[in-house]
Amino acid sequence: MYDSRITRRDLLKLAGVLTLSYMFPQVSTTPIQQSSNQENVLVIVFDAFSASNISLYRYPRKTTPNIDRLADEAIVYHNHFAGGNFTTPGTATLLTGVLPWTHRAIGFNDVVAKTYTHKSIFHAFDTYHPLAFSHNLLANTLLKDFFTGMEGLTPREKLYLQGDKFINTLFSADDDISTVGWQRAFNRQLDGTTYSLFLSRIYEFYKNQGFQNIQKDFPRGLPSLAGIYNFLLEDSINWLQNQISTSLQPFIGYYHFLPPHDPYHTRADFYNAFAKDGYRPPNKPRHVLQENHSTQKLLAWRQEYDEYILYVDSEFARLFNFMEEQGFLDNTWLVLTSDHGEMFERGIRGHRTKVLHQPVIHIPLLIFPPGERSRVDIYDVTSAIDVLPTLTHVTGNNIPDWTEGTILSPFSNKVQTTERDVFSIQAEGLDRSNHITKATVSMIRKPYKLMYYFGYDELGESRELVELYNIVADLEELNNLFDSEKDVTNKLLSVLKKKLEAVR
Amino acid sequence: MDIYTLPKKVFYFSKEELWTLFLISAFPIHVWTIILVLRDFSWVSERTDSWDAVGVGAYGLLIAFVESLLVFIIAILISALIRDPWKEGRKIVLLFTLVMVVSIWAMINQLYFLSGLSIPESVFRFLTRQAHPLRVIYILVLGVVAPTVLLPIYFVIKSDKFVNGLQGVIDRISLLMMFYLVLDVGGLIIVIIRNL
Repeated sequence: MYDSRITRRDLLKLAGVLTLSYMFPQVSTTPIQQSSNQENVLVIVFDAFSASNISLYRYPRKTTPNIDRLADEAIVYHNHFAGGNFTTPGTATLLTGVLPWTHRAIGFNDVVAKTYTHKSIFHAFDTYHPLAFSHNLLANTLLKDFFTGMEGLTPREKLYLQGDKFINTLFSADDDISTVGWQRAFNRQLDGTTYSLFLSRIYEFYKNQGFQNIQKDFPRGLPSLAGIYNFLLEDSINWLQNQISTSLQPFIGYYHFLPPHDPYHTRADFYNAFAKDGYRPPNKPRHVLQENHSTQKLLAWRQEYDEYILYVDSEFARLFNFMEEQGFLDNTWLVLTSDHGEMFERGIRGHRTKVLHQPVIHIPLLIFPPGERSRVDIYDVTSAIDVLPTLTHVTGNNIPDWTEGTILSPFSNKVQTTERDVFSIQAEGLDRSNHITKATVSMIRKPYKLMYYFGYDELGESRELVELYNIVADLEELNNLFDSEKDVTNKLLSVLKKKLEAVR
Repeated sequence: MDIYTLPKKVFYFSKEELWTLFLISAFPIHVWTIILVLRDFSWVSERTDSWDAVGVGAYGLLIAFVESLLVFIIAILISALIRDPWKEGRKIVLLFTLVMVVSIWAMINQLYFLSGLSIPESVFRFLTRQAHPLRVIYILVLGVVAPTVLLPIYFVIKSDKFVNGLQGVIDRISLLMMFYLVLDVGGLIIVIIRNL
């Protein structure tokens, strides 16, 4: 079976057939045409990009040599957390500025509650030109919802290398399910089976023929969404460069690229870069909700993931250099972040897991203010919900009244108190219109992090579990303080339960 | 030989035999599709709803129908290789045998992935000791596959009992396949409704 964390349907909608060489015009070198004095906002999201694996955030492997260097021109947030554990809740939180229990995009391929369809970053910047793209099906579903009645969302199929676009054209009224049917009939890469006994082989042969010239550059296979939608990050960055060069300004751009989300198919120049470095992460106890992956397998996946991050790092640097050369960095707020992380420990791989340990929710956040060339390090605990109010604030726009976030340091005049609680939520599988009865919630109140699991049958009669960590003294969450710091646990748990009562 | 006279002599099947040939060509493809559609039903309906799961099955059945037509055409072309004096009934049995054997191997190929089996290490060790491991693999595959094709053919040629037995199977399969064709029509209607 295909890895359960990437369900087949996640990955089954189809892409465009055009080869990219036809799709991408030469990158424009036209100087920036400012139609307004307002600054642009460009949010770059790399999917499943865990801060725990980024050398900028003290990961022992040098996974982000370029970002480490470029951070000298950025505000670097060291304790930034995603709203959820996978694309739907994570992205919706970033785009709306409210937590998953408010926007209710908590399940696979959900959209936000109707009351939030018109409460997104694009609506907050309502005088800007909205631009958006995502390789990721789930993020694209959210974007399509937010872009109802608006122009500026580029179909995700545009940047896939090749697909079966005719299916989407032929069955345009049912492109989603027709694509699932088509993929199940012909694509062996899903779980090794296809409805078709014979034609699937011909299809595979045809598809491979189209990719032959680039396959040598990707020894583990072409970057893809679960082996179905192939793409090259290089092409996506080229296309983005062209889009921002030709767009009307000011723009609010949201670009959500899939790497380093699995499958971890890095480019040849980064292949096996960490194969012989001897790095061994701290040995961590297996979690009661683990997936039984062996340590050896987790190490191998971690290495592939880390090498995929090198690819991301390299392409981000290329984008940054382009923006610098073209003068965009003088009038654009550039934001680099992610929707959630990825983990390779405690017997668990990936992010669609019930646990919310640091690798799953600790994500990067770098803000490059226009014209700034100095580094600021922020160690406050911050959340994805803070990005929207911060960006509206720094660009002189009104902060929407719906957001639950705060203006980030150093832009806020307020000094953050230690009492600020930052939440991340995992509640996949619940009916979003009902009460949250089965979920994991992480609550961070520096220096503590409480994880509250409830409603899971695997947890025995109580169906509950509580973990407490001091994430300042114990970055790796090795010592569960649940027993030794009962007072803290009870205090935080009480706050969390009250919060849950309020939002249920 | 005049190519235009070829179909009459070599490709000749009665309408009933052509229909039977189509049904037996379609049978293994439909069985496999239906098994996988049923297997997929739960995850698709969990992710979206049952109507979508039915939709996936409907597209699967349409594709199975198209694939069946192609296999049917190939079966007719293969029949050109079978010598004239053969009774048509025996020809159908032989084609049925070939379609089934090839289909079963295609299914085994997929089941191999599905079951998560892997080739025993001892086999790998054996292969790595060989001077030409690829040749050895081809010989091994041929050694396994060839008897499964040649033996049934031999029995079709030599044994009337075998042929009669298979004809009984073909009759039953044809009946069952008619039911599957009704499902195909249902699939077509579902696809049309979904695309209205």
